[in-house]
Amino acid sequence: MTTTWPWWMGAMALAGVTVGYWLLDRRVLGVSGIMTRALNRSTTTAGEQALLSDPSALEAAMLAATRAEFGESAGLPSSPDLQDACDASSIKAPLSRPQAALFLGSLMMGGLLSSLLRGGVSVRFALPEVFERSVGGGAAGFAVMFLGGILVGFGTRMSGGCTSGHGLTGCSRLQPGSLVSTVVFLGTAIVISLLLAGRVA
Amino acid sequence: MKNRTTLAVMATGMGLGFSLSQIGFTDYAQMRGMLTLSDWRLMLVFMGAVAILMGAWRVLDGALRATSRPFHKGTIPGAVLFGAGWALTGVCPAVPLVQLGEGNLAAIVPLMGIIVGALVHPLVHRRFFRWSSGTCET
Repeated sequence: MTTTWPWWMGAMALAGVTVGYWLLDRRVLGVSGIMTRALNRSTTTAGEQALLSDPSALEAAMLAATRAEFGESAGLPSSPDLQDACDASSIKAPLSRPQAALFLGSLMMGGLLSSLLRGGVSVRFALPEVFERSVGGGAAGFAVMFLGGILVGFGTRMSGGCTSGHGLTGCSRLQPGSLVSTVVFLGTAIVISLLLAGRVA
Repeated sequence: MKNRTTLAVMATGMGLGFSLSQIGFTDYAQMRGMLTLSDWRLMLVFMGAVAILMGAWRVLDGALRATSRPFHKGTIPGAVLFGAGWALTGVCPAVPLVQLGEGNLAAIVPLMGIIVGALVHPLVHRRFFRWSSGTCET
């Protein structure tokens, strides 16, 4: 497969998409989280969803709960950082299941558009050549693809993110969990890839 | 607000899918090149994107406080499992969907695996792990 994008163009595209998501809807990009949203029934009640869509009502509810816990004189903290964290308008309602599914479908559309621009979609059902040479082909190959997928789905959920959530978003924000996760999943992937590549040699 | 979210989701999804495909993240051979450190193009894309984003968040202010991704008991083991799966399949969660759009129908296989893994984890977590992830997610 030929590609014409120099690395810096790719970097700008991925960063652009991440920033765009933030600018458009104040949302943080993380695909494994969106996948989780699409798979699981929402755990927020209708009442909670309504509150999450109404920042002033949410702020009133938060203030009421704070006062109930800490007394009537409790209010907003004095430091701007902490005030920011209490800002109800920054608390987003998570994507609904249909919205999450729409995102995943849009990923597919993006791939379709990319192929069309390249001269057409070639429909095929085959394992990658490099995969077959280093891992295996046929039914065994497909079994490894499936099991590998389980590792990806289970691992990203266990770790709380993937290459976009932890890698792009979390690392760029210097989030501790993301920095650790990214180093570990990249390192693991590199070690195992080197082992697999060694099988061909 | 709902319409804005719908627009954001469609634009970002399409933009990300298109970019991943055009850049080469959906190509197993190129992923293998990145992960064996023999071809640094994709690695530079990733590192470059992180660098640009660091600058972007600084300019946009406030954004740095919006999420918290804490380091918890599942962070490292989860990352090891994900990394292993990534090396074997060549995919991260978004990629099989993009590949399906490209006509690569075999991507349904790792995608099914990802779905199974993602559904099984909370069951295992509830039964065996039960640690705090510092978020509302299991």
